[in-house]
Amino acid sequence: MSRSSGSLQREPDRAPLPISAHGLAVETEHLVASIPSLLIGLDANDRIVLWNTQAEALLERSAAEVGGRPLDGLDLPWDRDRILAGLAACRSSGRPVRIEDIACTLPGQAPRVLGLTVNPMADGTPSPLRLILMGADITARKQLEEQLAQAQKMEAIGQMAAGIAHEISTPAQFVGDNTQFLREAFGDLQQVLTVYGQLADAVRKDGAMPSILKALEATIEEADLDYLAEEVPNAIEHIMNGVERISRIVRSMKLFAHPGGEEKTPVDLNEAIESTIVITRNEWKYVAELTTDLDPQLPPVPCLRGEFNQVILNLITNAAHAIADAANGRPGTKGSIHVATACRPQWAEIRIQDSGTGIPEAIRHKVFDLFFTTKEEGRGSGQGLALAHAVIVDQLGGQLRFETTEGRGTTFILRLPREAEAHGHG
Amino acid sequence: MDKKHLLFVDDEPMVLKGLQRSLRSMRHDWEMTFVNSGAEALAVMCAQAVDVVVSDMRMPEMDGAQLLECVKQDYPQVVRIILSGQLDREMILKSVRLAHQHLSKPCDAVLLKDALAKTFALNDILAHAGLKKIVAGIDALPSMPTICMEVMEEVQSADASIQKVADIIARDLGMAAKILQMVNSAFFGLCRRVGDIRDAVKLLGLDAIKALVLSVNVFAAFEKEKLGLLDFEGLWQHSLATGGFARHIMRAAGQPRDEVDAAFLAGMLHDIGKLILAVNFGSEYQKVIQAPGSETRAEWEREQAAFGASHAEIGAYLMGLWGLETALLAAIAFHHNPGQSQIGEFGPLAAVHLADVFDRQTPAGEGGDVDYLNTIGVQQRVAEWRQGCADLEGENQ
Repeated sequence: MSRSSGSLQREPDRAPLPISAHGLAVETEHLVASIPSLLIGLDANDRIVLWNTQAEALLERSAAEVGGRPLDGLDLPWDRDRILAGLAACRSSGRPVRIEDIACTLPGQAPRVLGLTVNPMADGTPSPLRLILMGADITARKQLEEQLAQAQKMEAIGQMAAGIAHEISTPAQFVGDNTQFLREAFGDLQQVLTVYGQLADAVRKDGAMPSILKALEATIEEADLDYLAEEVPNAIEHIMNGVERISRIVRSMKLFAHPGGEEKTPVDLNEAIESTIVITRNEWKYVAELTTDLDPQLPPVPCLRGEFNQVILNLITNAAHAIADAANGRPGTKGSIHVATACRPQWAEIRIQDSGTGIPEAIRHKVFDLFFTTKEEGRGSGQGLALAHAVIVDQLGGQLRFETTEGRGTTFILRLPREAEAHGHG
Repeated sequence: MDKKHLLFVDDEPMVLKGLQRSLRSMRHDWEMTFVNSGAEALAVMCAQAVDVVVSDMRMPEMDGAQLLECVKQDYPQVVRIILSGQLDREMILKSVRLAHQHLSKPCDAVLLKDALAKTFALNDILAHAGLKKIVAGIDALPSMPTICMEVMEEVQSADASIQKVADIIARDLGMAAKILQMVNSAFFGLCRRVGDIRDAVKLLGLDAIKALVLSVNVFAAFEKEKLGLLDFEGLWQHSLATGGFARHIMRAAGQPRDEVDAAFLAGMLHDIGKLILAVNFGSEYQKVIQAPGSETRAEWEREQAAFGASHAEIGAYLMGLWGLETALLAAIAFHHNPGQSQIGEFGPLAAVHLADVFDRQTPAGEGGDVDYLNTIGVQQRVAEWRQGCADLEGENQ
């Protein structure tokens, strides 16, 4: 296999190639060979006229093998149909076409991911080149992105687990205490009932009444019967309340954690939002009153449930943090978070409004950047809003924007298409 | 007997009602007040005497840490206990200097009752109101300045290692006691007792130690002039030796693992009260240490005469406030005079008593409280144990 040069001009057993015929300078040839991207050039008949070193390396075919042959006739280890579709689209539109995430698997090697662009050459150039396919191996970047998403998930899970533990510990505490009380109360009642039993016997036999009556009074006194009569029903009420609270948290966790698969499925956004509010309660309850106005008419919307839940979690957590920051130095004042859903003609709209610090003008353009954060270490890694953007805009084909006033607060507005788009990816 | 007054603070009314009901069986002995906020708690304390405050940590407006800060400042004699469901490390670090004990929600009613009853039982160890106030106000014990520096440098260095930090801390009585308190508090939810300081440091982790050292300042370097004559290094050597000997004696007596560990811990901490006396009674304490040659009373007896209690009871009281188990407290409190305790059988107390005597190399005839040792039926084994401890020391040198 020739590795000395990626261009095709010095192949002896072929007709002189147009590239050399048009006098491609040696420098340009070297340049093409040294470009770290894959470069494939096609002529008007889709025949290969350029095949650089990277193309040889990535696809394991030498320039000598493929030169002059039409691209669609080659059995290359990549998704041929998508490539050809991309070429066709470029040719008909005359504009560059991006082909993302082409799987490329060489026998005996781990699958790799390529990112490609098809660029048209301007008409009227003397070169026979009509299309240039340019691309790179983005496997490492893809893996890094996946790891980051995973890390963000782990961060959120850790934070959530601590919060949920606290949420459950409160009802668990009073359920336990009330149960302990009922156990003791029942013991006391048994004492009273025993003496009542004796009293009944005594009445039947009609003797020794006064002493048993005295014993009964003492037992009732010790058991504090009036108190028990009043408090036992309350204790039972509280236990039911506590168990209901725990159950609600557990139900919400199940809804939240439900992975929902990788395909979009119709999701009841109101229900998803409510469950996320329950499990994030520990994040906001000390700093804000949270109100909702969820449109009951909102139909299920094609959505990725797990990702959507995480976006809402991030936005509510951010809102709580912004309010805590705004309240810094003014303890005792609670802020507000308002979550609303509404049905628009083409969109399902979600608004998450907080009375926090607002976003300063200077950083507004950066809030969706990955790793951009104003929070101290341990409170956020700067992935929350970047993830929200990736999910809402890139994956779900929706919109994500915000309105903010410094010192007054911020509203994030999410819009998801109500109908699945016919085309598009994700 | 005066009723004890307990004040419970939680922003969740149902938690308070639950506590009220579950602690109802104590209503004859305890007076209990339940309030919803830090502000209300302070108002109650302003109006009536309170013995113990049990507070939630996360509350709106004034949180548990802020409340206990105020209580510590204005009512230092009050025992401060945190009952919280917040498990994160940040909260623990925030409260470690403010609370005597940490209990984790959900906390079993029996366990809570037990912890509170134990706190009240400490009155039997130390009844002197003035001393109690001083001890309750202690949040950290003095450490050797050189060791403080070493820890500080190690945690700040780029390649700090937990092993090195553990080795440094294991050379200082004050730091060791604080670390053991933290690790053994219910907050960490450990089921076993941690007696080894190196293990304790590793359990806490480098980040926590770093925060303790740098931001919480839990290790306070002592001021030379205050400690005066107290031989810090010697005290620590003696503490280590007593712990080691007590462990040896317990093992030789075939005691169960748990008891052996308790004796080791108690042995290490038995003289911790000396640090408290040195810091709080500077010159008076120096006079006690520097007894004239004609003095016939032992040092601890002179302490009792001068302060109303010896380092043994004072140390035990602090360790009790910090939540150490009752078995350990008796061993610390009565290590000079086991005969005065309620304990009528061989265990950590006898082991620590003997270990202390062995290490101080008191001449024969002063071989401990012979009457007591006879009563619990181990006097005939003392010589053998003394030899064992001497061998142990030989091996270590």
